[in-house]
Amino acid sequence: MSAPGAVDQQRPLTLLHFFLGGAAFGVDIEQLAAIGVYRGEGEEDDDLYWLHRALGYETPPPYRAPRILSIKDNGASELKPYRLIIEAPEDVRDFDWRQIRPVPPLLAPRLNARGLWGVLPLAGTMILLLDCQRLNLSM
Amino acid sequence: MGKIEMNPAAGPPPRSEAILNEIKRRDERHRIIEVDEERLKMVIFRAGGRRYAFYGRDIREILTPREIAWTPGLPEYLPGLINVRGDIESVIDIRFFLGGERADAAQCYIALADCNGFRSGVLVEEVEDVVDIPLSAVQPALSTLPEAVRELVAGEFEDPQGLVVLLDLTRLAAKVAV
Amino acid sequence: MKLLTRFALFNALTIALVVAVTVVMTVDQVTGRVLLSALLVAVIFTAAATLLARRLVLPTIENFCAITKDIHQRAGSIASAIQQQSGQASRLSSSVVEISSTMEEFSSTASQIAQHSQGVVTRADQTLEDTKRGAAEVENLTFKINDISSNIEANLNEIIALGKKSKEINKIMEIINNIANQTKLIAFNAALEAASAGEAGKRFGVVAVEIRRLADSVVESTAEIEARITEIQDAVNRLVMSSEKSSQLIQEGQEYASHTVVMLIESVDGVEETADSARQISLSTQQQQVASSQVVLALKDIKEGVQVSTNAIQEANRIIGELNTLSTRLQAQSQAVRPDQNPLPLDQDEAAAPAAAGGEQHWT
Repeated sequence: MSAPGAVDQQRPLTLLHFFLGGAAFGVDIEQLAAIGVYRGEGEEDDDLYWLHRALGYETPPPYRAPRILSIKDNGASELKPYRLIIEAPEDVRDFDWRQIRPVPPLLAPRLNARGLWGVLPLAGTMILLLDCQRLNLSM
Repeated sequence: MGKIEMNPAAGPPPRSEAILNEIKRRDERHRIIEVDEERLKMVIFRAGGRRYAFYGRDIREILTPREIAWTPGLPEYLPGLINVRGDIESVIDIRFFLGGERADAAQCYIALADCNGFRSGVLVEEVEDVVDIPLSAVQPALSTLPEAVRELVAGEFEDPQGLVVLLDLTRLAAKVAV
Repeated sequence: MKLLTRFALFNALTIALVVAVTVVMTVDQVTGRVLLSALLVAVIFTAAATLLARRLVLPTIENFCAITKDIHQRAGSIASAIQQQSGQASRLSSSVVEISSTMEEFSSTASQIAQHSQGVVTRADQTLEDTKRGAAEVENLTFKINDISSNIEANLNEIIALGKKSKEINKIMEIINNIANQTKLIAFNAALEAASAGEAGKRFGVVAVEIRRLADSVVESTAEIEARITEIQDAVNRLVMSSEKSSQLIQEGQEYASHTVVMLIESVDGVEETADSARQISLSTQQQQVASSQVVLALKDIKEGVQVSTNAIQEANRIIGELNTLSTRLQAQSQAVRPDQNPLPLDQDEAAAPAAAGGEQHWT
């Protein structure tokens, strides 16, 4: 998100793509500092968050091979860097940003509040685009 | 409203002429009645074992059944997103409010509602018909309905197959809004 | 002894007579002396003769008496021995009679058994024939059942193929129905579009109605065809079920037939065993009959022997009787000669006589 209101058509959108509890997610890798394997350490750390809690899953989904994402700060000093536990990624690759659609108006208030800002339909899957810097971590 | 003059010099008009003129009169009368009587397009559907209807003007399109992509953090009556020729739409499971037996969501038709800025798919099990109903036929709801349903009801009418409960999508929109 | 006295008397008389005659006749002294000497000689001769006779005859008569007594005694013992033998012979005879009658009973029983066992053999042979025939018929039946079974199977396969074809038609019906439903949907959406298009959309709306009508008629037709196909499939199912049932019945029939054949074969074995046993019994009874007829013959021999013995005994008794009579007469005679001799006790005579008489009684 370099200049507001302008889309750099040259820059491709590289997404870290993973599944969690039946839903597909995509995170812009520009938001990520690091990714590592999670082995259960740091349960008590207050900068460590589980994604399913942040997104408001009713029942905790299974994590087959959890990973830790280190999220960069957003440069506006509103957000400190933190770590997010996600499911092991399916893929990290470029996606065609022109295929992205906005979240439907009925759901926009609910979903935007949790950092889900768009949908990328992809051959039977709908990738929910997640802005980690707008996650509601208070959950 | 002119008479058809075939032979001006003849006496009383021949029977064929009289018949044709009568037919013409009836035709015109019928058209006036038609024009006077407002007819409303209704989308009659089945959900939870009962027959309901939406105003046709509120429905953009009826969609074939498809997979609904579940999205986290939404209430039970918002099952997720659907793909409509590349566009992403939300889906409301109206059966949550109507009650009754619920068939598999992936097998249900979806009525794409678009009225007064409210836009969403609405899960209907099966669309029976799209018909014109005269305005006069729509009566206020008399039949006993659950409270949750009453909030959405605009009225009811009869058709050859029985009673149809008319639902107001604007009220539904209000119910599901945050 | 009377005899001797009479003899002596006679001699005396004779002499007297002679003397008298001589005296009378002769006057001459010479002849007188000759006659006297003759007379003397005659007297002496008579005395001598009498003495000699007495000396010679008496011992002989005594011997004779003794011998007679002996004979009498022996005759008596022979008689009693004969009586004993007669008694034994009679017991033997009655035993023989008993045995004979028993043997006859035996023989008749044996011949009855032989008859019965022959009857069994005959019946067994008949049964054997019947069961063999029965087994052959069951085999025939089994062949016929197999024929029917393979016919039914062939028919069944055709019917199932027909059922499958109708299922394929069903699939096509499904496709047509899907298309019809989709067409209906298009008609709905066209109607909605027409409504929002206003006046321009009216004609479009008419077209939509026509499309809807077409879709409805297609659905109607497919519904009818589906109903026909369901009918066909129901008929096929019924046929399959009934032929399955027939199959089951046939299988049961076949099982029953082979079971029957097994039973028949087993009963054949049983029958053969029975026939063999019956023949054995027949043979045994025949042997028994031979044996018993041999016994009967032996008994006949014994009977004849006994009869001969009895006849001999009777004869013997008769002879003894005669002997007794004779000895009694002799005894009497000797008694006449020597009266001082002890007479034989009369009871021996009596003992001898009844033996002869009783023996004869026994042997009638």
